[in-house]
Amino acid sequence: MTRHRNPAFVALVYVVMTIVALSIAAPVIWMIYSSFKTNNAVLSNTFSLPTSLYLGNFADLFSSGGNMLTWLTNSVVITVLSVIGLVVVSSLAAYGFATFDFRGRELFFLFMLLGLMIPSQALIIAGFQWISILHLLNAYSGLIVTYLGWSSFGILVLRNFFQSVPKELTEAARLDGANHWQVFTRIMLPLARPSISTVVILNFMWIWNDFLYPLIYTSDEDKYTVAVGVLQFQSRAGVQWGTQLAALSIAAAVPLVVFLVFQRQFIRGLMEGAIKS
Amino acid sequence: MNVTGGVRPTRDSFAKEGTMAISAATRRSRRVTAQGGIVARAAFLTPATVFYSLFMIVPLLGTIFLSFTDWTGFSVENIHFIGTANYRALFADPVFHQALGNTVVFVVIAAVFKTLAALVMALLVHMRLPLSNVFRSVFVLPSVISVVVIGIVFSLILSPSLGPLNALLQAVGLGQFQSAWLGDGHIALFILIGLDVWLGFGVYMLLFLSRLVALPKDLSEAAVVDGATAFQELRYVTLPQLSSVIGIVTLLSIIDSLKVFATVYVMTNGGPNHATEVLSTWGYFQAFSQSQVGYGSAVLVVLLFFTFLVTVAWMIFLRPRTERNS
Repeated sequence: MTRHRNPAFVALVYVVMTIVALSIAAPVIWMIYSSFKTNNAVLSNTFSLPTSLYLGNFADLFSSGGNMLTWLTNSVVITVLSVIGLVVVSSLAAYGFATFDFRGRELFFLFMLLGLMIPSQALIIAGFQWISILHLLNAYSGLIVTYLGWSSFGILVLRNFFQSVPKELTEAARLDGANHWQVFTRIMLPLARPSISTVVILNFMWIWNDFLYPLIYTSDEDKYTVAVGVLQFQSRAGVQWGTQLAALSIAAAVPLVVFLVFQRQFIRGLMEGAIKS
Repeated sequence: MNVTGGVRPTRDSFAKEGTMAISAATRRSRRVTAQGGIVARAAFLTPATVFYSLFMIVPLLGTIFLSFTDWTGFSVENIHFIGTANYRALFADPVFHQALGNTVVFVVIAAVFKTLAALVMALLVHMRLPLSNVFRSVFVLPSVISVVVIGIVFSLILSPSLGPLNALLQAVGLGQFQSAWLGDGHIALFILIGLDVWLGFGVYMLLFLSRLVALPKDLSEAAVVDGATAFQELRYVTLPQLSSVIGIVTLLSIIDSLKVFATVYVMTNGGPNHATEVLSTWGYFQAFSQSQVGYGSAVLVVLLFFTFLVTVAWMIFLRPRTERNS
């Protein structure tokens, strides 16, 4: 814009943005620094910064009394495997929808998008029975196959991207004798890296943070994911706020780190991939 | 000054040019690309379809089926078909009505404010003032950290006796504003709505930003040359160009608000005394805590039906209007 900006207006904008940003950051910051205080200190001097870094809360979580390490392992395995699986099935299907013409294609595509409207609570009752019948309860596989059913978003984003690839590229390859698999792996996938990053990052966040499925599908405490463990912890921990906040900080730290590392990709990908046709 | 004189080439502009210059050879090659044997199509489309059908559609149909039964969730032999009895019971259930009312209130207020907040913050961030990137990342942060985490942290902060909020108010002399917060049936729902807006606007802000950065600059530059003020430019140039995204964000935020579960479940579990009960939590509670699987499923089917209605209504009324302007 080539317009001169009124400095008072700019100041106002900064004030508004700062207030909003602070209201978001403050609770998170409080959560993090409170995990380094003893339970008593958190309750009595709620706002003070810790005088020394008390690591007892974290020790409790990881030692024999706590299951945090197990929960972290479960979360990592389930989330990573599910995300890899989702990228595979979504990109394959997206290529299929973007490339092939067949009768009923758009209707079929809309059918695959129904998943965007369905809340997971609506599926959980019947889903539990179904996974139980398949003997996949209380196991990684039960959760992973369930998450693999949530490909609607990935298919939407990736089909959108594949459709934007100039047809001349793929046609040239096909005329040169390449089959679809080769076009897919050698041309489409490499080009789709930003969109795939979006799908990876968003699905990672959702699955890592999901608590409903692991809550219902597991019964043993050592099969919990971090999200469920933290939730169960809340009902048991009572006034042990220091320990609770430490658990919450760990649960938040992983997606936070992933976000900070992939920030540029994340934001760019969300912005590009989210424009729906 | 860099006047590009036009928009970036898009797929649509390729298509317009391409259609006119298309040759027979190109048409042939297009057919080649679009063709694929049955095997190829199956290979690409099957994996996703199988998992989707098995683990999303089947449970969905299962829930709908269960809503017509009186099942308690225990032994599978005890499933009895009871027709629409559950649905008729819904009409007489005062908590269902409360949950329905709460859900509507939640959806209307949350969707409106989330869309507004996302739009306003997107416009502010789009001004590209120094540090805008930092602000943008902070605004997106709640979507990154789980709802469970944020929900629990806020429950602690809002705790009437132990929490820092009341302590803070007391300390700065605003003691009279202390409250039971989430324990107060009158304001709990609105606190939850506020949190939902706070948590949710970031992603929609990014949606708006993505369209804002792609807008052609020539219109705004013409407006500046013609002497329009910032507000006039906003009202007559920017906002009309955003109308299709506004439409999409409205739909998405309505659907998201209809689906709200985690925030309520984690922070109040529908309480106090159903003051914050919404359809999803009531259905869940009935099915899992009260062993009324059939009844709970009926509640959830009602929720699904509303979501479907909203989407269809949007497609009929709003989409044509927004697409005309995009």
